[in-house]
Amino acid sequence: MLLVDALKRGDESAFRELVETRQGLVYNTVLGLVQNPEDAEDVTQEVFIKVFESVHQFKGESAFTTWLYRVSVTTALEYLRKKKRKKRFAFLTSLFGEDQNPLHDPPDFVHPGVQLDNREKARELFAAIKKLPDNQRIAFTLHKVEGLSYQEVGDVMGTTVAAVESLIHRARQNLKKTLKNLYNEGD
Amino acid sequence: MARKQRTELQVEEILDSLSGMERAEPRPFFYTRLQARLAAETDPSAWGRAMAFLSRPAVSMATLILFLLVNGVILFSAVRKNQATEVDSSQAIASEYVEVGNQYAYVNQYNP
Repeated sequence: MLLVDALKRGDESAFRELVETRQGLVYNTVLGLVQNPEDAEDVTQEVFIKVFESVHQFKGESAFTTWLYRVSVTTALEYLRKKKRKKRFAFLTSLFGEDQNPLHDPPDFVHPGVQLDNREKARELFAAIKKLPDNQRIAFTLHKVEGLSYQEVGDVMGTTVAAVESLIHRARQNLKKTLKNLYNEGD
Repeated sequence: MARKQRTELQVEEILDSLSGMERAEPRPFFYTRLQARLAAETDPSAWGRAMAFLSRPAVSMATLILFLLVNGVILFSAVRKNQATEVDSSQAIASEYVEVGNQYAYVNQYNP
C-alpha cells in the first residue's frame, strides 16, 4: 500500500519502482493476448501511462496487482479491437495517410518463454487461441501464460472460480476442435 | 481408429505445450522508452495536437460528410433559384405579350 500511496502523491521514484518490478507481469500478460512483441511493448507502455494517470481511482477494493492485471487485459483488448477496426478501414485510412505501419500480424507467433522442445506445438496452440472468444481467451491466457490460479483469474475477471473453471473447460474444448480440424485438413 | 487416437494424442500434447513456460520480459531500458513517451504525450506542441485531432478517422469522416452535406445544400438551393428565375422570366414574357396585345387592340380601336 505504501507504493500505491506514493504513486497517488505523484512520486516519480515510486513510479519507476512500479515499472521495474511489474513490467514483466504486464508485458507477459499483454503479449499472451496480442501475440506480437512490438504491439505488446506499445500496449505495456500504454498500461503504465494509464496507471500513472488513473492511480487515484484505485480505491483498494482489490489487490493492486489484480487492478494492474485488469488494466493490462482491458488495454490489450482495446488495442486488438482498434487494430481490427483499422484493418477494416485500411483503405480509408491509407487515403488520409494516417500511418504506414503494416497491419498484418506475423503468421506464426511463438512466446519467447516457451521451452525449446515445445516451440512448434506452442506455435499451433497460439494460433488456435487467437480464434477463441474474448472471455475464454482471457481466462486461458491468464491461467496458462501468466500462471494464475482459478481464484486469481476470477478476481481479475470479476467472476467466480466456478465460472473460470467453466470458461477454461470451454476454451480447451474449442481449442481441441480447432486443432483437430487443422490435423484433419492436413491429412 | 489408430489415426484418430494419434490425432487425439497430438492435440493433447499441443494443449500441454505451455507447461513450464517462463515469463517474457520487455527489451532492456523499457523505463527510458516509457519516460520518453510520457514526455511526448504530456507536452505536445499545439500544432501536433491539432494534427493528431484532425487525423483521427472519426474527425476526418465527419469533415467529409459535412463537406458533402454543404455541397448538397448549395447545389439544391442553386437549382431552386434557377427554377424560380425561369418562372419569373416566363411571366415577364407573358405580361409583355399581353401588353403588346393591348397595344394592338388600341390600334384596332383607332378610328380617325
